[in-house]
Amino acid sequence: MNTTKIKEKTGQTIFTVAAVICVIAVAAIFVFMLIKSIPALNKIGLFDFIFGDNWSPDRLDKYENATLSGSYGILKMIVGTLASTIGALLIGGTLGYFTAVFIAFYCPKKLKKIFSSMVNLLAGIPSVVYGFFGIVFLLPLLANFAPNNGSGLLATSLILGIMIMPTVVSLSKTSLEAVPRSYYEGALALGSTHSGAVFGTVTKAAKSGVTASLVLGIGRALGETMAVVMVAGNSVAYPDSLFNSFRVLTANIVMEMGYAGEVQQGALVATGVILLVFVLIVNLAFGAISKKAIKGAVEGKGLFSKIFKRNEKTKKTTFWTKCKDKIAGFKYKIKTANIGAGASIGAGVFAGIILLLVIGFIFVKGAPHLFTNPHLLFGKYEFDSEQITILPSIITTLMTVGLSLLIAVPIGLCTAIFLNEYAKKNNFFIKMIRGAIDLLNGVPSIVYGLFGMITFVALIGGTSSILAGTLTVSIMLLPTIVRSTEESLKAVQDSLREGSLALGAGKMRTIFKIVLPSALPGIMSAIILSMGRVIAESAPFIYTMGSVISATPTGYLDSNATLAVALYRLSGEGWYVNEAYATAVVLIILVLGLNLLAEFIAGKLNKKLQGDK
Amino acid sequence: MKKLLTILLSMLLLITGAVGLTACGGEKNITVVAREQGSGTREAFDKVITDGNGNFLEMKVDGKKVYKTTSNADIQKETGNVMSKVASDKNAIGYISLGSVNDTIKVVNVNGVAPTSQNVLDGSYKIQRPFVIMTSSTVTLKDITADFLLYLKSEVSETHAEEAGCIYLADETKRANEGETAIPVVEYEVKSSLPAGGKITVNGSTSMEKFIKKAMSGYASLYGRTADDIFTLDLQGSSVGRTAVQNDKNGNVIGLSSASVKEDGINSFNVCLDAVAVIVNKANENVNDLTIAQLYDIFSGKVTKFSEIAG
Repeated sequence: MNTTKIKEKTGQTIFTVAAVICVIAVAAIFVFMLIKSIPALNKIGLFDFIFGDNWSPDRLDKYENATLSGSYGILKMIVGTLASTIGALLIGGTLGYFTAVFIAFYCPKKLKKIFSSMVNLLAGIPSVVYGFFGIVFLLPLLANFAPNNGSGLLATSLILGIMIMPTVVSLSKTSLEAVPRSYYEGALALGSTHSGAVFGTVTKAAKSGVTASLVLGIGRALGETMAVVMVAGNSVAYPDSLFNSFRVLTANIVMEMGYAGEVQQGALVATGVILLVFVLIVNLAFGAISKKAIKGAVEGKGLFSKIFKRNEKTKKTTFWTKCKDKIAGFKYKIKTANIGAGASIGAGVFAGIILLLVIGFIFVKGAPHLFTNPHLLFGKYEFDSEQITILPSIITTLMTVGLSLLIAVPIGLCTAIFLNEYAKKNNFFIKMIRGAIDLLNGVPSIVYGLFGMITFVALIGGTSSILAGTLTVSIMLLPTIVRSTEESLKAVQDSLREGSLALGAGKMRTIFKIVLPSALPGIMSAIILSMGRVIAESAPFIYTMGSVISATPTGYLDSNATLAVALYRLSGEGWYVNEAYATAVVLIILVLGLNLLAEFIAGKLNKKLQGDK
Repeated sequence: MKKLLTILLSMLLLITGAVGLTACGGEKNITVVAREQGSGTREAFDKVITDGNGNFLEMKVDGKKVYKTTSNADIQKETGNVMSKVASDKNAIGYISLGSVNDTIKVVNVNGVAPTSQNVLDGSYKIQRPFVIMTSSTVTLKDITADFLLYLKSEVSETHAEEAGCIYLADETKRANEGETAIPVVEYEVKSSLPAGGKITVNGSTSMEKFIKKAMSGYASLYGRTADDIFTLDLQGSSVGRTAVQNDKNGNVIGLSSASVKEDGINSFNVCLDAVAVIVNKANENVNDLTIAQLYDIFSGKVTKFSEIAG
């Protein structure tokens, strides 16, 4: 009896500690970034930093100097970030919204599954691959009619748009499908056409969900780094035309961190803080909107209940006359609805074309080199050789994936167990943990990179190493693991827990013998998705792990480039284009394979849950 | 039916769009490819390029840094990126370290002078900067680090400099910063076995990659090793290199800087000189020689087409 009690207590303590670690991680990011940036902001002046439009750093500037010779204003970059985000939203938001409608209402049943997983695949493609696609395909295409080489706001918005589209699609689709079927049927019963019902009723009822998906898209566009760096041009200027080199906040950090002097480095960290503030705002907006969406769905605050309510208030018209008006409205709207239908089908087709284009183009160009150049994949690394091999990068990537999962999965899993099995729903502490995890989820990957550079790299002795990069990315994985584990724990029916407890099992035993096994497929797919994420990321690694492909690492203190970073390097160095294509192919295969595996396992989970019923 | 029509219509739009893209013509603007602020290559370039009236691409006005490089410039983070941009764009112009020049791009003369070693050494080729080797001045170097430093200071460096395309500095006064004690070339004797001290971390300027890799291989082969047995190479830019040397606690960091070093806590010597070469696309037959004033006009955005430069 006593040992069980001890077990229970230790279990609970471990879970709580894990949750606390999550909170500390978030706090540490904010605290360290602030500590590093406050001296710079003091020196520069907060107002001049945010509203100054002159960024002319001097690497010799030091805090002890009386005056700064450099100027550190980031207004141009703020405007650049906002402009490219708006551009991405116009392109990716519109495309994503209509694609979601297409998948939900116009897609033939058989194609539906294929389309959904296709969108998931688009989400899994690493951002360096998008950037690479931008360099080798989009820029040359745009250069045909652009006054410059094609880089600038248009190229950036297009690439970012494609990148945020999957986010918008999957969330919009979920909220469209969550609208009660009766709304749609009601509209049909009142004489509306299919398109009329979709665009007149269902999309309106799903409005907050769709808005939330757009906000999430904004968050992704704000924080994107590598793809933007590769196509924006990056000179410090306002994006005053579609084809003009400009710079975003994230790019500012990546471009200059390597050569930055003391004050400049502080200013770059402060740029990261500004990014964090943007993310915070987006997060709060998302929270508010999705809360509204949930509330709306629960209370049935759809279109029809509104009509009822209005009738109750005015009492001038009966429900039926109002509905007749509505029918007239539907007829009037048929034209608009048909345009909407056309747009949805067009968007769906277009999304398909984009995926085929990105993947097809890179595969056609890259796959042959994998076969004709075996040295690339299996060759021994030779120092100072003209022959590239990515074997060391593959090994580095595997080392990173392995250790980061070893660190992040236990912490994430325990946090999720704590949140779902032990925590009281409305506790302030719990709310704080959830808030912290949501916040972590939105932090741009380059900010993780900065954080890793000023903490882990400094701790390990000033030089970058696989260990520093791995620790950095482990923190990044936490929110994904916590959230998806919690989801799959929630999906486990309470009757199972109650049954186990009723039979006399302790809480720990219930968790490990009953709850976790039932939730295993969900947890597995979360882990696999995390693997995909580590493989796809590049921004967190450049300043923590190194960016040079070197000899096969012998330990975690060596520095090396992961596959994604290697692609960034190779795509920049013009004479290794074939190798870059081949590396991109390897990356895509890895990430897409993992995505498919995750989907397969998640599918099994669904079947199992349905079978339980 | 309607669905079919919309699909057809969207296809049509796509095709007309694609055709429209290829139809346009006319002389393109010059694509100015520059490095990011803070890069050693950019600093060396910007401080020399002037319009002749006291304006430089990088200068101080009333104690404030001013950068004049056009805001239309395409900013690239690494030498390789500049080269690939220029190699793939007929209208591009950029600048890179002379040691990195290869046959994918074309080097342009500046003021009629080609960037040859003689022209750099005698100063007639203006756009140049030192390559600097750094070690910590606050900790005792490990035996192996001190030994490798000795190797770098010896005349063996000359062959590596030649291999890497940078210009060796034999002049002992030029090897030190202006006004500091001269740093002579030393003799290097191969020890009976590899000195102790573990691995050496090499960190710093990407421009010096070629040189240091040759030196590392050369040193390792003396002891029958490969460079990977002895070194960890991590090039993230001059300032990261400087910081790594300042933070060196074990005496095993060698730093590389492609700009003169004035920071505290660092012992340094200039191993060779590097010219910054101005490069254009290979297909660009009309541009072979540019004056410094013309370079100023191009890089500051005053001139936007190659045809505007009086041939």
